[in-house]
Amino acid sequence: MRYTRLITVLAILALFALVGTAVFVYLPGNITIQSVEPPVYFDLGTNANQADLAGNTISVTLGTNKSSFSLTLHPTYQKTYYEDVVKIVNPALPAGDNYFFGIKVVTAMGAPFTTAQMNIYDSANNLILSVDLTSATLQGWPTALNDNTVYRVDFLFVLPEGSKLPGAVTVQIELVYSPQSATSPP
Amino acid sequence: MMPKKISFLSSFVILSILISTVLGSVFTYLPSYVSISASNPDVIYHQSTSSGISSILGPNRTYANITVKASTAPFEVTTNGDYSSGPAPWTFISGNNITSAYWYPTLYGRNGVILMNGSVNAFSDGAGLVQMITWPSTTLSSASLNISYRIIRTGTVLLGWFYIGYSIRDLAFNIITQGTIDIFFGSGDSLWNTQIINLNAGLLNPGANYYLVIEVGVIGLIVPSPVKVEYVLDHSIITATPSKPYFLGPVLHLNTSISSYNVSLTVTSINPSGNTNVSIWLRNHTASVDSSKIVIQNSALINGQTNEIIIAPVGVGYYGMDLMVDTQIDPTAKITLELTLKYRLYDNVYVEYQITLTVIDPTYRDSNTAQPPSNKPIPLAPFSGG
Repeated sequence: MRYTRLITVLAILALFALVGTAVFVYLPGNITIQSVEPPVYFDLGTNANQADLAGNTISVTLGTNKSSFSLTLHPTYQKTYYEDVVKIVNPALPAGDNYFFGIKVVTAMGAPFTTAQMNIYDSANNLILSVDLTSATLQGWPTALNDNTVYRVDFLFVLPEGSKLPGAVTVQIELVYSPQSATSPP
Repeated sequence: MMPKKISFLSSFVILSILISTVLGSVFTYLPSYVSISASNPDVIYHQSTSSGISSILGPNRTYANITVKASTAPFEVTTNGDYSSGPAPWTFISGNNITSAYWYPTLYGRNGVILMNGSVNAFSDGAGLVQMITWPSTTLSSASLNISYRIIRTGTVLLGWFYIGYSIRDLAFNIITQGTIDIFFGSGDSLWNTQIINLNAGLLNPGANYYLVIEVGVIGLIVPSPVKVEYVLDHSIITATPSKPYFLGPVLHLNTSISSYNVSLTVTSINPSGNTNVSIWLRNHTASVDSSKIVIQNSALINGQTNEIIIAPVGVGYYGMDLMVDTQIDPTAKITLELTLKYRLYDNVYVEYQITLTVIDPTYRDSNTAQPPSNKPIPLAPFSGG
């Protein structure tokens, strides 16, 4: 009897303990996701999808929303220059949306190329930013990309005479932009 | 101890700044991919076989280091006048019956030969072997055409004369000077003959371009059935002797395998020693087109860039373009030039190669005879100028 009473008390205590921890407090908040058309986008340059060296094509493909591009170039030995392959556009509308940007090289290229640059020019042919595609870093942050601006993207490669012709290599980059410049992108 | 109100205010300001910074830290990442698939060079250099040239090409034929030796020795005004390095830059003007022209590595006991032939039954017919030449810009003590030839006629000839001659014509193809080299009557084999014809240099403007035409044909032919005729040339060389150390000719050849490009040349540095005069330009032999000239007068750079001319793929045995040099220097003088050759597709998609060019005045000239490019006959390209 004594044991039966003890077990009953312990069972009631255990129940109370469980019920005591299962206390939840709910603080309500609202998060509204309102997607917008990309305020900065890529566009085809004048030499996109034109003939490249040795019968190849400067192949440029834009993403469906122009928020990405994939391109293939066919440089050769010595110095090869590609002008106006892609454009970076901050359109006139909506008005007043000024941004800052940089180019993050995610996966870089290396030897045997001694120079691999993505050079960005404004419409007055001023060099805005030269990105070293052999260095996996964020480069040029913060560079102004103001409202109603179109930048031209060129590429320069130097492949030294005597080096073995390399196989295809892909450089992954990210154009990072923000309305502020005080904080660097993570 | 700060008063409570001030402490609260400063906390509020700091918090506000923090919130505004955090609100602005919106970053958008646009990912993209740049694929680089390097290609073998479409345009490559070939060494010149001109006498007086020594050159070293890079392993990929996209760099050239050339030394030009100007001297007072007799030099060849024509290019590849002995046909030793193939048919380039000679082209062929077809006749109505004399319609075929081939370069042979060996033929009738000679190395490097051009054969023009056909089956002739016309009363008269003519064909020609053509090369654009630049007349030397220096004072010449002599100039002559040295030609070695053989005419073989097979079949019955009742009447008719088979001839070989030459003409030098302006670029509108008007005759400046001409002459008959030999005439044969009837059937048979003339065997090998060599003639040396002195040229009247006074008729030709220094530095101007002309066509040298080796003319072959038949006059007054009466035959019962077509006659096979072969005009075989072992060489046709214009030689001139300068009075000062001089060089004129191609110092480098270029070819493109697949695409056509606009090509130009720019001087990037100049290092003269003594008095030197140099003109450098690009020549598309098969199209009979020259670029404008880079000019160095009295060791000073007058014009540092050529205009663009087109290089296009050409047939076996030919070059799409030549780098031409005309230079006269004082004894012991020397000049070294760094040049950039640029070939462009359009709208500044281009490639740049480097060339180092040195002109010296040695007391000797190298003999640099090239091997024929193949062991098979090569058809001559049709003439497209004039």
